[in-house]
Amino acid sequence: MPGAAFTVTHVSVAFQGQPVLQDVSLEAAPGEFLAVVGASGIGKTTLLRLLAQMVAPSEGSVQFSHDAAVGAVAPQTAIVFQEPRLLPWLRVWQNVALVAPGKTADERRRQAVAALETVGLPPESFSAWPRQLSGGMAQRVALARALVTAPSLLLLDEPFSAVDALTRLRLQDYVLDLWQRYAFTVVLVTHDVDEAVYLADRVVLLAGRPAGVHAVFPIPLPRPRSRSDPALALLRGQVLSALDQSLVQHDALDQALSSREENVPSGIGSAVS
Amino acid sequence: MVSVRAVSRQQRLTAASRTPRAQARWQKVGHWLLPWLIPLGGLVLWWVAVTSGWIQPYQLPLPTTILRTFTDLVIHGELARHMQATLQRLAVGYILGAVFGVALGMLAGMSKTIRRVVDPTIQGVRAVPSLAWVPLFLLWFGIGERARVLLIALGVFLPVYFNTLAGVGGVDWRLVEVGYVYRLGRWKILRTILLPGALPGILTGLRSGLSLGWMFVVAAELLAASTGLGFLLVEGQSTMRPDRVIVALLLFAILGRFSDALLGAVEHALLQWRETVATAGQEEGS
Repeated sequence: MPGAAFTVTHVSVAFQGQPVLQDVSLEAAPGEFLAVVGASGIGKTTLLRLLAQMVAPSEGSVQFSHDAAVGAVAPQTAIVFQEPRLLPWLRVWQNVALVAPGKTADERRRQAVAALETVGLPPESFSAWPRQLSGGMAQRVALARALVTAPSLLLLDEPFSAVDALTRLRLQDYVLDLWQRYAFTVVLVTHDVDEAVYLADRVVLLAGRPAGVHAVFPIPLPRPRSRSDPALALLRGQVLSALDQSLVQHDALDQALSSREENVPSGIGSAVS
Repeated sequence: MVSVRAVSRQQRLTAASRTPRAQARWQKVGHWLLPWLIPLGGLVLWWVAVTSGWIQPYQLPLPTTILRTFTDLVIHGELARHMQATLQRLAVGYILGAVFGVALGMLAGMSKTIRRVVDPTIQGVRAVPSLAWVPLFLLWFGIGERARVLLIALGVFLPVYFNTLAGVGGVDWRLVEVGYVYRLGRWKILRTILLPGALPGILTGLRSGLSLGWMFVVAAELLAASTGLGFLLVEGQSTMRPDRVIVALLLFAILGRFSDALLGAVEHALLQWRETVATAGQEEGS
């Protein structure tokens, strides 16, 4: 589709001959919020790395939005990992300024401060060392580092999985707020189905081995959404049961492949939480 | 019964509040005094041993003689000349060895190809005890400043190289990945991620390089020199002047300690970002 933020066409990815993704086709409209769910180790992160151009497809193609004036341009991609990955030897603001686009050091510093203010970091933490921050605060800095690059595509790799429950909810709302303000495209990889249906326009379920797009669930709910909306609960139930089914298929496949190995008990609880 | 217990408790409290304070004072005095116990005891023993004739003054002169020798050496400018010679060749050799050690260590750490090329050879060089190179260096470079400086440089190079290599290897790959994702470019990744990440290793190398540098400057001056504190050692031995030998030894101790403290301060300043066992707890207090 012309004008799509990205178009993934029949892409396969293999590591050392071992296929991880097979025949994945997926596209996102500019400014769309996509969530990717699936069993752990299924290849969600690989899909994200594909979009970040950190891995190359062994088959198929990945195309990004086409600017008629410039031709094909790589989008300004920013990524937030599961861990903050801040450079421990740079102060908080320097971590953000490092990737800021400004021409002069002074400009980059101002951009960094602005980005840190945007994610709600208290100003007294700006010149702290990263090790002095809590996990949630550090993840905010990582988010600020992504925002300062003015991304058109923001990739989030389970960014809230390592913070406590309350911080997670607040960070989710921050991301939602920033997304609405800056209108970038978001791809969020998560194992939290609640998070996926609450945040996303569409939820993509990866399943199979090698993994492919198993199902896509549109979440046609207006925003702002309420976490206690019954419609949300209904959609969550759908995604969960589809996820569960894909896990059962997995186990059947695993059993068929290696009958000697002991079957690992599976269920929504163990795979999703 | 109750009142008795209350009184005794109060007594115990006052006693407890006095005793720890006195104890703390004694602990503080002891804390400062303890390190001086052996040197001062040694000095007394030395004095007694020489004055009572157990040891002949030509083997071990009195501490006062040594002090006089020291002031004589200072007044005649001899000491300044020897110190300058030693410090100068150490500085040149150290900088040479450290620069090559860091550069080659970084390159070998970042590129598998370069590592394959240089590392086995350097491992081979290391297998030879460094002082065993002396005769070859003297043959190649003659008995001159060049041989001495290069010998020191070799001694410094090895620990700096190996610690730098280990330091680069220990940099968290996930941080390097951040550099790639944000398209920082090779030079910026090297400067802002790999180099600071390897810094703890580099500094460890620089410090052990320094102590090896001192060892090698002595070796070089013992074997082939007419200046330097090491020369003062040999000369003192051959002219039967133990006082001059001891002055030189003391100066080595002072300069070595001083240079190590200097490097330690640099290390402390550069590694502020790191939380170690030594720095833990300081943050919370402030």
